[in-house]
Amino acid sequence: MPFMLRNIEVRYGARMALSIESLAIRAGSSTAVMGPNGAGKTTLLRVLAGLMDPVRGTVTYEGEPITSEHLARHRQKVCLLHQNPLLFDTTVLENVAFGLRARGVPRAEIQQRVGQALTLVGCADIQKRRARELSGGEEKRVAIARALVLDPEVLLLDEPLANVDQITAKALEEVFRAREERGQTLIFSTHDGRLAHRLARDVVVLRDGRPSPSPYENLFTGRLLTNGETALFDTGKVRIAVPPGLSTTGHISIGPDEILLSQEPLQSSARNAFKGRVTRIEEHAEGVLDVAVEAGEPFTVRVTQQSFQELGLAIGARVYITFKSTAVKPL
Amino acid sequence: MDFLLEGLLQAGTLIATLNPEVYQITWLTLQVSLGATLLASAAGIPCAVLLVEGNFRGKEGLITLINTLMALPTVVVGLSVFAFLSRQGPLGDLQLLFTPTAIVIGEFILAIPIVIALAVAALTGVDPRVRETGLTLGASRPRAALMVILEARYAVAAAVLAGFARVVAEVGSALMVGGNIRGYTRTLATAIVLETGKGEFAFAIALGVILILFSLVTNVVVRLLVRRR
Repeated sequence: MPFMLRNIEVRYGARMALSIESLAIRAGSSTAVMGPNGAGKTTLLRVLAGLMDPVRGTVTYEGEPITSEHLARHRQKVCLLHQNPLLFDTTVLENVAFGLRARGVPRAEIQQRVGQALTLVGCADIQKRRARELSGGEEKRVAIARALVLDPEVLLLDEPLANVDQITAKALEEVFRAREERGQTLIFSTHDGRLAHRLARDVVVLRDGRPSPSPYENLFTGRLLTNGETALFDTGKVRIAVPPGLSTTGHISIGPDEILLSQEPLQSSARNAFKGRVTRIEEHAEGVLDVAVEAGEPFTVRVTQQSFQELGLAIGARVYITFKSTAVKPL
Repeated sequence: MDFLLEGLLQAGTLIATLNPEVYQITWLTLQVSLGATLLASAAGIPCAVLLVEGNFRGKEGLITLINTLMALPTVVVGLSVFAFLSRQGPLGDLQLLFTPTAIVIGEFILAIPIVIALAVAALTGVDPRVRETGLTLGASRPRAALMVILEARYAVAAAVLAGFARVVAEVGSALMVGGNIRGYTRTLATAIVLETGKGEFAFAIALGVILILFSLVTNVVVRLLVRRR
C-alpha cells in the first residue's frame, strides 16, 4: 500500500474540506478519485502530493509519514499536475528541465530526457518558444511533459481530461496506458463516473469531503432499447431488463447486494437471469465476500461467507445470477 | 537672478570638464548607495519571501509596521546609528563613525523597509501555483521561492530601485554619521547642503544636476520594468 490516510481532516476556514477516517490507495495501478465539484478531490490530491498539511491525522507513503522532515524527499517521488497547470515564465525547454535540474541530473541527460518527453506529447518542435506564448492545448501538453520527464513513482493528475483538446486527450491516454503497463501508480481526480471506471482499477468516491460507497458497482455502458412494454439495456454483450420509463445517459449500475447467486436457475418474478462462471472471490468485509461472475459481462455479487459456503462454490463453478429489473439504477 | 544663470553655466562647465572633486563625490555616493541597496535587497527580499509564505500570528501587524518604517525620518536613523557607533555607544570600538561604512549602515536601515514592503506587495501578487508547481516538481523551498521571485522579477526590481532612490539623495543620516568629510565621506546630498551654505551655488547646482539625473534614470528604469510586467 503506498498511501495510508488515517483520521485526516482538512479545513478551509470553518468549512470541512476533507474528512477521511481511513483510506488506503494501492500501489502499481491507477486509482480514480471521483466526486462532484467541491467534494474534496483536489484537496486530497494536494495532501497526497505533500503540498498541504492536514489539520489532523496522518498520511503515510510506503510506511513513512509525510511530515516536514520527509516532505522534501516525498515531493521528489510524487508529482501533481494541476487542473489548470501553470508554466514558468521561461522557455518550454526550461520548464520541462526544471524538475530534472532540481534533482541534479547531468546536463546531457536533461537534454535527452526533455526531448523525449516533449516528443511524447507532440511538442518536440517548440522547445525554444516562450512558455507564456503557447496556446492552451500546448500549455497543457508541456505541463504533462514537465511531469512525465521526472518519471515519478506516483503521478497525481487533477481532472486531467476536463476541457482538453483531442491531441492532449490522446497524449494523456497514452500516459495512462504506459503507467498501467509498467505497473506505476497513477491517481487522478474526475467528476465523470464513466471515465473513472473506464480508466482506473480502483475508484474512491468523495462526497462532501468524505469517502462514500461507490454507487457504481456493476457499471455497464450501453444503450436503451424500448419495445412496447419491455425496456432493455443493451451493453453489446448482454441485454438487461430495466424498469419501463428509465432514462439513462448510457450507464447503469446494479447493486451487488441485489443480485442473487444460485447453482440452478431460479423460478422467480425477477426479470433478469444470466448463466455465468465464478472468476474471482474476494473478501469485501469481515464475513462478506465479493464474487465475480462472468456472465457475458463481469458482475460482482455480494454474499455472506456462510451462504457462499453453503452453495459450495469455487472458482470456475457454473452459477446463475438473478436480479429484478428495479435493481438496475441509471447513473 | 543672474547668479542662478551663472551658477547653471558654471555647473555645466564643472560637469563637462570632469572636475575631479565633483566626480569623486559622485563616485562615493554611487558606492555607498549601491552598497546599501544591495545589502538591503540581499536581506530584504528573503525576508519578503518568508513574510509572504509564512502563516504566523501577527503577520499582518508586522507588514503594517514595515510599511510604517518606509517613512522613517532620516534624522532619526542618523541619530540612532550615531548613538550606536559613537565612542560611548555599544559598537564604539569598531570606530566606524564618520566613515563611508557608517553611511552604508544608515542607508541600509532606510532602504530595507522599502525593499521589504514593496517586495511583499510584488510577491503577494504572484499566482500561488508558481510556488506549488515548483515544489511538486521536486524543488527545494528556496528554489521554489526563486521561481516566485523570477515570476515577479520586474516588480521586485522596482522595489530594489525604490530603495536606491530613497538612499541616493538622502542627507539627514549621511550628514550625521558620515560627517561630510571632504574627499572621504562627502556625498552629493551632503555636499549640496554644505556648498549652498557657503554660497558656492555653481558647485551645489552641478551636484544637484547629477543627483536629479540619478533620480531620472532610476525612475525611467522603474517605469520600463513595471510596464513590462
